[in-house]
Amino acid sequence: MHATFTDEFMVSVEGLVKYFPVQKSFISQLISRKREYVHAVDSVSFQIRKGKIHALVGESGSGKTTTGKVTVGLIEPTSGKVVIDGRDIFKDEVDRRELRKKAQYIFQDPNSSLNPRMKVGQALEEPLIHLSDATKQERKEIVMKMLEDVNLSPAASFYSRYPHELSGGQRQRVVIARALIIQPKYVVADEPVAMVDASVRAQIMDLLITMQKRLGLTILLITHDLAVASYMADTISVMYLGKIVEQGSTEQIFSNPLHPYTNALISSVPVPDPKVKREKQIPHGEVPSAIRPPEGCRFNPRCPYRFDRCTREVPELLELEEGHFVSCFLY
Amino acid sequence: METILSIRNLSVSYYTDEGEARAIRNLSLDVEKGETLGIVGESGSGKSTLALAIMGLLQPPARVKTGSIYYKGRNILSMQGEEIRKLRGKEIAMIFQDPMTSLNPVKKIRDHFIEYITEHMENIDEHKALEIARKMMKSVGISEERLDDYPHQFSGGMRQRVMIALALALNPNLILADEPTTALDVLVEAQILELVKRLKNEFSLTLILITHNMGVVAEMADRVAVMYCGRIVELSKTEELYKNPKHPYTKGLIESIPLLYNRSRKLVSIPGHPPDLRNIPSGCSFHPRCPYAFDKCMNVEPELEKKEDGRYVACHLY
Amino acid sequence: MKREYFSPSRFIFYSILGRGYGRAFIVAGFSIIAFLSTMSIIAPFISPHDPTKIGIGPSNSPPSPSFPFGTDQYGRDMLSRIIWGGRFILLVAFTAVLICASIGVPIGLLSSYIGGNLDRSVSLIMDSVYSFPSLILAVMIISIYGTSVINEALAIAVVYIPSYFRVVRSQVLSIKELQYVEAAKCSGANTLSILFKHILPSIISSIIVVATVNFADSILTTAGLDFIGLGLPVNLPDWGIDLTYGRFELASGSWWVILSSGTMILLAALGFSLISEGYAERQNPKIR
Repeated sequence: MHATFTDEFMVSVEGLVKYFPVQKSFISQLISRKREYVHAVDSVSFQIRKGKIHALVGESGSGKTTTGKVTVGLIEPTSGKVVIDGRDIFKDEVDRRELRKKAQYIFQDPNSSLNPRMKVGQALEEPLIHLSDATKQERKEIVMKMLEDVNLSPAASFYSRYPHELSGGQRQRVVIARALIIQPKYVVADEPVAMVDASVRAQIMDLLITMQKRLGLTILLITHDLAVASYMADTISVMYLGKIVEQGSTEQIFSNPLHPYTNALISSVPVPDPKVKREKQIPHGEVPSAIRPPEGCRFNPRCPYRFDRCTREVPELLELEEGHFVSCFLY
Repeated sequence: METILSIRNLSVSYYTDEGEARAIRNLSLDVEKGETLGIVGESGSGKSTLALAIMGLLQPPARVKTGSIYYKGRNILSMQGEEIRKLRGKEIAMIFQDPMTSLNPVKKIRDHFIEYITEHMENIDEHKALEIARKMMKSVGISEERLDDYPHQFSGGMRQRVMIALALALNPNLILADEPTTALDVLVEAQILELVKRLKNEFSLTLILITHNMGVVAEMADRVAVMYCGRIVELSKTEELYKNPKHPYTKGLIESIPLLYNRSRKLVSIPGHPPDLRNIPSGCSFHPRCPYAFDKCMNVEPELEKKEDGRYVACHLY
Repeated sequence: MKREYFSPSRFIFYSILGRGYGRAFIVAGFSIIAFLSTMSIIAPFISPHDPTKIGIGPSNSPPSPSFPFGTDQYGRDMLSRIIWGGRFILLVAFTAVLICASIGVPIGLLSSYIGGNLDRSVSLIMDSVYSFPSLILAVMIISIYGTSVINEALAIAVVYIPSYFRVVRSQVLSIKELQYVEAAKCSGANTLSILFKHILPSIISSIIVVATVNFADSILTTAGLDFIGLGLPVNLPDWGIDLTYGRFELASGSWWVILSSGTMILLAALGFSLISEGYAERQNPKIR
C-alpha cells in the first residue's frame, strides 16, 4: 500500500491516530487522575491518486469525519502523517493559509454550515477575502461565475439571498461553491447528500462529479451510504470503530467484499426493488464504545466468524489482490 | 378486506406569518386491515402532517380545513379529549423518528411503562403493568433487567426497541411508524426493520410506514402511496410500483437512486426542487419539474383516479 | 437550529401588534430615547421654571394650565423637574451600560471561544462578582469615592458585567460548535474575524436585551442611592428622587408626582425594549 511514486498521489495519510480526551467534571477529575480517551481514529492509512475520488464508508462513530477533518488540518492528530500535494501539513513550516488554499471541506449539513445572517454572495466571498489577493470587483466577478458554475442562476438573484430563502438543494450548492471558489486541489466532501431531499440527491452527486472532472479535483468522500460511495468513488476504505477494515477499488469492494463487516453493510442496505430478495447477514448488537474498544479485532464481538485469535490479536491490513486490502484473520 | 382507516378529502394547512402553508390538500386514502402501507415522500410532502392528523395530534398553527378520518367507522377529527386519548395507545400507536425526545430522561424505563399502561387501562395495578412491560421487553429482544435503566443508558437502536415495546404495550391494532429508522445506522436499521416485520405478524398489526427511503418501503410495504406536495400522486402494490412506476415523480424518484447491485445504471435526476408550500404551482404541482408536462398540466390539477389496470395515478398522461 | 428564549416584552409586543414590525419597533424605540436625551440636554432652554426653586406655585397643586404637571409638596414645578430630571439618571445609566458592555462582551467572547482552564477561571471570577449584592457594592464605592456620574456608573457596572459575560458565553458555547464557524475557519478566517464577523452578529440581539435590563436596573439603582441619601442632594431634579419621594405624597392624594416621574422612567425602559425587540426580529429574519 505504500506507493513508490509519491507524486501520483494528492493525499497520503500514514498511521493516523486521533484520541480525544473524555470530558470529565471538575469533581471526578479530582477523584481520579486517570484520563480516558475516545479512540476516534486508530492508525489509519490511505492514499488518493490525483484527480480521483476516495470514499471513507462507515457507520456513525467509525471515525470517518475525524479522519476527514484531520486531512485538511481542522483537527490536529495525536500522531501520524498527512501529506497533501507533497507536503506534510503538520510540519511547522507549512503555512496555514497555503494549506487552506489547497485543501477545502464541504460540510455535512447545509442548514448549519451557512451563517444565517450572511447573504450567499458574502458567504462565497469570504474565502476570497482571506485567501486570495483579488480586489473587491474581481471577487464579485469570481463569485458570480461560481454561482453559474454550480447552476445557481441567475447568479445576480442568488447573490443577494439569505440561506433561509433557498431550498435544501440550493443551499448545498452554495456550500459546494464556497469550498471550490478558491480552486483547491483537494476537497473533503462530508456526507454531501445526507441532508438533501431524495429527488435532488442525484443532482448534487452529479454536480460534484462534474466539478471534480472540470477542476481536476481530488476528493475524499465521507459517507454512511454505500450506494452514494458506489456511484461516486473510484476507491473505497471501509471503516469500523476507528480502523480501516477493508480497502480497494469500488469494483473490488462491491463485487468481492472480503471483510465480514463489509459484507454485513452491503447486505443490510435496503434495496429499492421488491424483486431483489437477499439473505441478510445482520450482525447482532451495536457499535461498542470507542472509549474502551474491544481487544483484538474491533469487530470480533459482533462477527459471526469469530475465533480465538480474533479476540487476542489485532489483524493487520493485508493486500490480498492488487490494490485490495483487508484486515481479517479469515484471510 | 376490511378497511380499518379511511381518510376522506383531508386538507390541512399551517397558518404562519408568511402565509398559509398547505401541507395536505384534499387527500383520500383507505388502509386495509393487516396490510403494511408505505407512505413515501420528501420533506414537505405532508407525510408527517398526515401521521399527526391520524393521531389527532395536530396543533396550531396547523388546522384541519376539510375532511374526515374514520377509524373503524368513527371520525377521529371530531373526537374530543377523553375519547381520542383512549383511541391513542389502545387502538392506534405511533413510533417516532427520534426516541430520545419522546422518552423522559429522568424516568426509568419501567416507569414509562407503568405510567403509559395505567393511564390507558382501568383496573390495572402496577404489578400487572410491570408484567406486561416484562413481556413486551422480551418480545423486542431486551432483557427485563434493563427496565430499571434510564433512557440515556440505551444505544440508539435499543431506545427504538423500547419505543416499539411501549407502542405495542396496549395491544393496538394500527401502528404509525414515522421514519422509525432514519436516525439509525444501516446495520441497526436492518435489525429494527426485521423486528418490526416479526412483531407485525406476531401481533397481527396494521402498519403505516412513513419514510423518505425508497429502499425501506420496497422491503416492508405491501402497498405504497407516493406523496408530493400534500397529495398522493400514485398508489399501488409495491411490486407494480417499482416494476412500472407510472407517475413521472415516482419514476424520477426510483431512477435517481444509485443501486448497489446495478452500479452501471445511469442516474436520472429530477430537475428543480420541491416547491414552497405557501406557493404551490397551479395545475399539477409537479409540472415545473416534469419532463412530460403539457398545457393541461399547468391549469388542471389531476385527481388520483383508478386506471384500467387497477392502479391509482394522479397524472394527465394516463 | 432555533435559538429562542422567552421574553415577556416580546410576547406583549407581538400579541398586540403581530410580527413584521421590526423596523417600526427600532424607529419608535430610538425616537423615544432620542426625545428623552434631547430633552435632558436642552433642559436649561426649555424648562419654564427653575426646577429647584421652592414655592413657585402652591404646595401639592394638581395639574393646571399654569402647572401642567402639577407641583410637589414644596411647590416646585413638576414639568420643569421632569424636563431636568433625566440628566443625571440617563447619563449614569448610559455610562454604566457602556462600561459593562464594553468589558463584559469581549471577555465573554474570548473566554468562551478559547475555552479550557482560562474559561473556567474567568467564569469563577464572574460568578463571585455576580453573587455580590449590587446596592451594597454601590454604597461602598459611593461612600469611599463620593457621588459622581463615573462613580455611580462604575458601581452599577461592576455588578452587571457578569450578566453580559454569561449571556455571551452561553451563546458562544453553542454557536462555536456550529458548522458555519468551522466553515469560516476553513475559509481562512482568523479568530478575531470569526468572533466579530460570525459570532457577535448572532448574539447582538441578546446583548441588547441585557443592556435594556441593565439600563432599567441602573435607573432603579440610581434612584435607590438617591433614596438612602448617597445619591444626589434631594432637592436636585431627578426622576428617581421624585419617584422615591413621590410615594409619600401619594398618600395625600397627589398622584401626579409619582405618575409623571414614573412615566418617564417607564418611557426610557420602553424605548430600549423596543429597540431590542426590533433588533431581535431584524437580526433573526426567521423567527417562527
